Amino acid sequence: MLSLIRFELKKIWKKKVNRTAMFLGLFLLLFVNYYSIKSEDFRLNKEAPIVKGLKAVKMQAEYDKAQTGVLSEEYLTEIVTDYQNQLKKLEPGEEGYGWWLISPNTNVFSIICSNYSEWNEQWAWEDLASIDTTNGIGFYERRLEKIRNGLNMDYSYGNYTEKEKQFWMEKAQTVKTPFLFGNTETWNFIWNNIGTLFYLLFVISICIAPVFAGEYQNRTDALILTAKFGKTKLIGAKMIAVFLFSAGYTLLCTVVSVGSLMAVLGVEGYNLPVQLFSKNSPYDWTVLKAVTVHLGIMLLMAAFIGAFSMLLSARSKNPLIVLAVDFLLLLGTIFIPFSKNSRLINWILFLRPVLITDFKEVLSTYNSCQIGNVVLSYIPMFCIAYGAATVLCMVFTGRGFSRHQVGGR
Amino acid sequence: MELSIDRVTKQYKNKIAVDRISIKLEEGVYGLLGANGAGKTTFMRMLCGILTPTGGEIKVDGRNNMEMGEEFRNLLGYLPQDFGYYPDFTACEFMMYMASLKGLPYGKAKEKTRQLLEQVGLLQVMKKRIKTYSGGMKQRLGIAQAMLNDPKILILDEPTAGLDPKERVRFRNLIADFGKNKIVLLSTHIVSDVEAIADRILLMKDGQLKLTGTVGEMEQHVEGKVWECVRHEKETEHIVENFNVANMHHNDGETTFRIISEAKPFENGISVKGTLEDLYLYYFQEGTKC
Repeated sequence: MLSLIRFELKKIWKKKVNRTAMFLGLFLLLFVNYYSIKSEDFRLNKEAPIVKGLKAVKMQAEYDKAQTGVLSEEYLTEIVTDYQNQLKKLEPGEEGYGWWLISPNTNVFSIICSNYSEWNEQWAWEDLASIDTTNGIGFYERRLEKIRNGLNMDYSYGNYTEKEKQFWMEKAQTVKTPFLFGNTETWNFIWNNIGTLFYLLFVISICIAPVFAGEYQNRTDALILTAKFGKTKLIGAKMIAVFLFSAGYTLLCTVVSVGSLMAVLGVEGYNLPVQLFSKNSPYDWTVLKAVTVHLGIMLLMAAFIGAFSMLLSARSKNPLIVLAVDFLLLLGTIFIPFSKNSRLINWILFLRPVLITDFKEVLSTYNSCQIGNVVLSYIPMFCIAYGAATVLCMVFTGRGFSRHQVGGR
Repeated sequence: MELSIDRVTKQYKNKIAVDRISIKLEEGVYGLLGANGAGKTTFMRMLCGILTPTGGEIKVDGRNNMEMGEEFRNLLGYLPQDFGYYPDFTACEFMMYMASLKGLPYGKAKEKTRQLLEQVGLLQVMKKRIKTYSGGMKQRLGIAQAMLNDPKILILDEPTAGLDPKERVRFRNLIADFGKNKIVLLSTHIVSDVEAIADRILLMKDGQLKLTGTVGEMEQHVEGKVWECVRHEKETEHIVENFNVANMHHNDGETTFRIISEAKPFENGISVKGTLEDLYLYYFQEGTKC
């Protein structure tokens, strides 16, 4: 069995097109890291010059690091009051109206904006002027109020059940407050760029597409299916090789992506609460835990796309068909709009693979469904759905190949 | 060992590719002779268990081949027609891969790979990629992989197709070497291939087995039906159009024809001894008796 797995991995590796796709994938990750850092800018105040690229990231990191500490009600009230006072001195419409009052403390102000805006609403900086600071800004009270409001809203496609509301409120209340603040730069980049791993599922698809279909296309099916283990152990060996490859490549990409960022920016900030990144999140997680869960889900997606490609590969005689269907599933489904009438349809649409790329958004989304007395939130539901789909794909792949008729019409 | 084929049929919608073939094969070399499209490949695929018959049954010593599963495949060596390979693999890697698939332990696989590659004359080039091989080299590699598990049943589908005469002779000798104490079924439409090495001939046409027998027995079927006639060269076109001509030879304005016909075609026709090739032409000439 081991030697069969080794040979199946060798078959994947020996194809020039696979190796090219793998290297391009790794290059893409490094490029995204480079470009995202290059696009950053930083300005300490109105008079200071704009700094760009890595220097800007490091300056922002230094600034945030200097602010390390808890985001207490007193501190937040103080900076909002200070902002409002300074804003009053400005003429509306003045160039860059108020932005420099925010900079370089944008990370904290952005958390405040997100906390005070209404559900599904975005605030501009100047909206901070509307916060009542008379008796303190009540930041953490407002946080729970906003979540409660969101859960109690009327939705055309169906409202949350009482059980769901209770589930989310209890979850939100477990989050430790006040939030710890510090240098968020490294983990912000890591988390943003990990989403790129999703696009590398295409590399897995390219490499896996010929696993079975290539045997049909190259006419090696007749040879291997008449060998002793051709209809038995070989199928298992191919599946294990596909999973090893998918997981291995995903992990390699993770190491390259995360490792290169850590090498440049350091590891500081891993213990910061997820709410600094995913502002309205009800999860009491550190950013390290959130990134680890995200990576776990990306691994599951890699396993799923490997299994799904294998299934298509075993059933179709053309690797291009496998690629086309994978492409439609991964990217084509983006264009399906959410339903205005059905929560069930929306639930299904929430399972579209592409939605997992923005995990910050996922952690701020209160998607759940109630089955009997059990409330399932989005992440477990996503994992159950793709775990089950992966198993089903494997079962039908095995059947498809062992029953394949050589030269059958 | 006995390979028993009982009314094996393959039907695709309204086309019958193999029609109720029944035969018992014991140790020996069997030449399956038939024109392109006669159903030879379909029949062989069913024998190997990679195409399910729509009717009938294949048994090895009384046991159904599909139910035997791995046990049956362990007895089998198969060289498909125009077989596929992994172009980026070397011959050595390919053989080791096939050996793994056939369940050979690593040590034995290595030893058998070396031995077989030496036997088929590929030892010196075993580290070269298969895509650099000639057609004949690929076919030799094909037979070598078929022999890895020392099969009791060896099925070779058109193994000499596309080979030059020298390679064909070399390949025939290999089959004769490998075929000892085995059931070897070799399909071809090249008569001389089976004539040289087959113990028995199976003649297949339109999905059916029309005749079986030794070369001598088969030749008897055309006894009194093969004629040599000398005619004027001008008649050539007319004769070719109207008779089943096996051969013709021009000489000094005259042509000597070898004609296969139930009745004497011309007054000066002389009856000659029929060959397997004559029998083949007798059965496979368009519009003639079958």
